Amino acid sequence: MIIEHIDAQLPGTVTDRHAFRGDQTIVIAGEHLLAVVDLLHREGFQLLVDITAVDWPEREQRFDVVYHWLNLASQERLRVKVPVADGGSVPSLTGSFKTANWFEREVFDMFGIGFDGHPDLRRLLTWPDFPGHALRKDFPLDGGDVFCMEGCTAPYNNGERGGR
Amino acid sequence: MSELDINDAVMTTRLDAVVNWGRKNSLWPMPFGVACCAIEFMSMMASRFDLSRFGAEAMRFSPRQSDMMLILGTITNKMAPVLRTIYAQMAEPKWVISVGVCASSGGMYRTYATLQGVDRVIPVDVYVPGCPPRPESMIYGVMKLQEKIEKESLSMRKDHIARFYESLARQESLQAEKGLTSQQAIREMLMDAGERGVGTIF
Amino acid sequence: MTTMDSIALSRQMLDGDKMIVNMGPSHPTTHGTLRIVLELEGETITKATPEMGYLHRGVEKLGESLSYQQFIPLTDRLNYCSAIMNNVGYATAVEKLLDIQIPKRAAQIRVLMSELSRVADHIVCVGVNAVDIGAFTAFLYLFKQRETAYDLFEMAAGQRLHTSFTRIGGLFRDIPEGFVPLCERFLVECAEAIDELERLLTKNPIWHDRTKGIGVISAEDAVNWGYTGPSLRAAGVPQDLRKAQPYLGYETYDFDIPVGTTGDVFDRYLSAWRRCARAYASSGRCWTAWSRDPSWWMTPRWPCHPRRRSTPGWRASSTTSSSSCTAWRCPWARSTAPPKPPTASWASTS
Repeated sequence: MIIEHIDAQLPGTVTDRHAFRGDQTIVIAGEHLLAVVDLLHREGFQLLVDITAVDWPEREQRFDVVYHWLNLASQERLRVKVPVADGGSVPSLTGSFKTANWFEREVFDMFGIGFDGHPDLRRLLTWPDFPGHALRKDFPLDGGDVFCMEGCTAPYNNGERGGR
Repeated sequence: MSELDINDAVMTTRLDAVVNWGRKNSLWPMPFGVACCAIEFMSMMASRFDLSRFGAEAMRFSPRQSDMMLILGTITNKMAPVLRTIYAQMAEPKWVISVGVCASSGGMYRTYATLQGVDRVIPVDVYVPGCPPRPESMIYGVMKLQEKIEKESLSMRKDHIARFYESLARQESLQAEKGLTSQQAIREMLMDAGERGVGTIF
Repeated sequence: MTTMDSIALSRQMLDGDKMIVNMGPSHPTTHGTLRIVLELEGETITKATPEMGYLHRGVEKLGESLSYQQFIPLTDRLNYCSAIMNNVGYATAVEKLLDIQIPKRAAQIRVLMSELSRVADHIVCVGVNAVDIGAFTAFLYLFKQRETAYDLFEMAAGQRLHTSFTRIGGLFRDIPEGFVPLCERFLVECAEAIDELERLLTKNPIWHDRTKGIGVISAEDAVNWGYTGPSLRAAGVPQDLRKAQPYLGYETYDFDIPVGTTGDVFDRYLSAWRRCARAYASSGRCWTAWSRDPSWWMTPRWPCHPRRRSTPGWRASSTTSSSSCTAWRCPWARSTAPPKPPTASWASTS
């Protein structure tokens, strides 16, 4: 229902849509995000449940920023995906949704996607000079941590100092 | 009388025994409660398992007022400098029990974010494995620490603590000279220790 | 702008009455790892800047290289006070994606265990809230009930806290023999404990002084800030997922949801505690429902767990077969051969 509404009020913004197992998803471009969000807010989708992102490294616009909304009155849920390229950015939603503040900081920390208009865009989960963006597919699981690798020994071995 | 002679070995041993007996039976825990093991710690302090039988009822969340630090939960790389600061703030004599596999070795989290064992950054006396360890296991760990304290000499065990304070000074100078955050400084010290083939930074 | 910069800025605006206190990540009441930089004027907090991430363990990154089944133990540790509910939530999501229908008995047992773990969770929540405010007795009395709940979990799943009880398609195993009498006993004793705590706290003037009017939030603000769960209901929004979008047969159970008015700490305590009581009641109803319904506890069509593709474009290794449980590994997951030491690029701060 809401997708038809978006099509009626903002024609041409929805570039792709799919429904899977009862979930409805639309894909829109970054420049239309604020208009769509405004419409959603007016239509009752006032609980922003989550903002996250997915990295598709083979694609040109490698990230998909994913937003989830819940309409408390009609219990309808909507997922909105916004493709963005490496080094790109999307408009921030902190104006209309205060909860977007930390969600966007988390996405910035984990993926390196910028958010225009965010009041304080800095890392949330890792420390300020953490090297890299953790959830990108080309970031290794151990992050270069020496002791995560197999074959490394514990520092103490039955009371004697161990080593490599 | 010969017992009054201070150089008499028997006198020193008895002093050690008395002091260690007092210390081991009044360990005031400082629960560095971070994650799930803290919930099992709460169970341990509650009425069924009751750590206060061992003299450890006085849970002090301040490092200044406690002598046994229980590290309860996963220590991440972001938390590592905090842990070192808290350990540095404890007055000696002090002991550390690393509770659970996350604190002992990084647990199931072999990732960029988790410190692979707390003994890489602070000295640990007893490791209690388990995910989370049952309260009985944790009590067994405390009892093992008591056995360890019994055998301590009043002067011998300060070596690893002295090395810890040296490493803290090195960390601070590294931060000052390169302008790093404490987390990144510890990260660099860990990498350096790894390259040298040593498991800890102190 | 770092936290310290923002503190420095506010320091410029300080007059002699304000104080900046760091409620650091190691603090008795943060219960874990939240850091808050407080600006105090006497005993009133005028500004609080939270900083988190001290328990970011890289679970999502780990999940990239595990199969659906292998991820279940990691879900336990997300909300460790009520581990089974995380298992249930995750397994339900995967089953929705794979379109697996689980047997009715499995759904009922999941609901029962979820409600028991909800009771246990709220025991920790309210008990520890009471300890922070100064009421240690409540904590001790409640943890006795939590121990019985632990015995139930241990009987069913083999572990007290991190149960990993669900599997994709059902459960780890069926409820064993001694579970039903112990559950009956728990329901009786827990009811007494819940009433006891209500008598101890709900009309207590000290409790009222410490919780009423503190941390008030309106319904619109709560929705705007993305609140969910008991805090949202305490602010006056009657949203409960079990009623709004029922799963696992919740529509067949009869229960109501407590909703607050002002959203202050007292309302949040009531919302959590009354919910605990409702959870106890619904676990009782659930227990009576399933005990009369014999059926499978695991979907017969999925005897092995399905494998998962980590990313599109990555092919399975040739050694996997339809009955193997190995995950398809990404190149960034740990390889079987010890890798070379890291290059300098990850050691640099740029």
